[in-house]
Amino acid sequence: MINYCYEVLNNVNEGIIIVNENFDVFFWNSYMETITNIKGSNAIGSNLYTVLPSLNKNYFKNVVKNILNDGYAMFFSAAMHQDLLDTEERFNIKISRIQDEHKTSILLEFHNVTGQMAQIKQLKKYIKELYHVNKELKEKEKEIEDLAYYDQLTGVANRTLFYILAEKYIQKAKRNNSLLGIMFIDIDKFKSINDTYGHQVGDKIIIKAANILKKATRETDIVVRYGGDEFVVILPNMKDISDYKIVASKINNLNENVVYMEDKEIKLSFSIGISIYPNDGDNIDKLIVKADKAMYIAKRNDEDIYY
Amino acid sequence: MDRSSFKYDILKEVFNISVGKAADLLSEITGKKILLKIPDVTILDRTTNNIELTEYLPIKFTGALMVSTISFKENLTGKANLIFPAEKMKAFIHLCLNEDVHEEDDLNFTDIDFDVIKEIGNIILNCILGETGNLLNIKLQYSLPEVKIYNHINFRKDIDEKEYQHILVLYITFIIDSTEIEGTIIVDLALQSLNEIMRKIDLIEADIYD
Repeated sequence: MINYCYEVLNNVNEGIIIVNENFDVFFWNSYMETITNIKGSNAIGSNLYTVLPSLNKNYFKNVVKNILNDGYAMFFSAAMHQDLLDTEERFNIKISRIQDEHKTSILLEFHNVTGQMAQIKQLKKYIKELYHVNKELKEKEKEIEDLAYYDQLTGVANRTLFYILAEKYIQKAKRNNSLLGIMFIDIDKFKSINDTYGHQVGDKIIIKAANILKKATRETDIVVRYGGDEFVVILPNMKDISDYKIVASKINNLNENVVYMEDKEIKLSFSIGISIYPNDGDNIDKLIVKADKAMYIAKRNDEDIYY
Repeated sequence: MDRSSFKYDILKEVFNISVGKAADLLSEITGKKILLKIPDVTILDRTTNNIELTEYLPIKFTGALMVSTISFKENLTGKANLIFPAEKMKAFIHLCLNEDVHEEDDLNFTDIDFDVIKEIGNIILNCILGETGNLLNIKLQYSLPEVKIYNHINFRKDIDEKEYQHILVLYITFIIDSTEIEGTIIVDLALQSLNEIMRKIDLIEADIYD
């Protein structure tokens, strides 16, 4: 019967060593011969730590001693113990006590996980590559989105994005029965500035104007370059019609009147027209037309703002 | 048992020694200094109170949980569950394997990770059950742990075994490379088993006072 059991153990696809209470080897299966290149006939009768000096580590010996005394099983993972077996291949090791009325032995099982680990390493490599490709794609997507929806010169929303957002905010105002403000802003005498100082200075004035509007508006307000020297500001979350005055007054306070650019002194001023949903229209086109007309009235009357 | 009683202190010290041994072994294996905060212990009695086990887990345990479970029999009967938040377990694995954390890493666990968790769970639970058994002179029979991942909902269903009347909850914190890894060990005990532990502690207490 014993020979039969040994024959079974010789045919399993994992390394099996059985040692006695003195850690002398009395069984060394065929798979163990293959993975260590040590014949059973050379191992049997010798001390485990002599046959496999790589196991001769303090913590390993202490654990095996404890298993012998206390009888619990121990598992050593290939990942945490790369040097327990002196081979290129990687093994999980399970150690347990076998005891009957006649004797006590320690069973060591070596399970080959080399293939699994190589596969996981390969998969991780693919995941890393995919991750970076995905990251690049997302960055490209963002660039394309920025080109589609944002003004390249000032970085604020462009006209395309304006209509998308304005529609969204009008619908929200309708649902909530709240106010929505539209400010139409024009840089005074911009054509003259461009003609006098050139397009480069003109561009810098546009950027300066956008920065003033961004600083003057609330976090929830949206600044848009509507076109050329025209800007629109969407004012959602207005609690009262007069709220636009707060933003308008901030714009005026930040507006320095005279801007110094490349040792040129340039007068910068805005004309602002306001329209408010629902009072001035129930759709964005009507509100834009109203705000634009108001802006022209402000300009004609030499006022900063008209509502 | 009154938390202020000497018996609690003895129990805490027993666990302190055993978890300390686990930290020492892990230190030796990983080559890293692994420190341990003194564990805290709570005993819950289902026979007199309706206990919702998840209320006794640390507040931070709200995501996925890694659980290693050992069942034991012979002189004591019950189950021991070592629970770590999945995120912290990932960190523990990286530290034990000396691996860098990469931006593409996520909370998916590979077979290698499961093997490492199995080993860490084996070391900690072996030390706690083994050393506690040795100190209290109680022999235990148990096998290697099973490792599973749970979300909070199916954790309640699968781990909270109402058949065991008493629960020992042990709060442990390892410190590796200044990272704190908090875990909980829930030991479900049959009444006779808890009584047996308390009887042994009484003997220790009597020895101290003699």
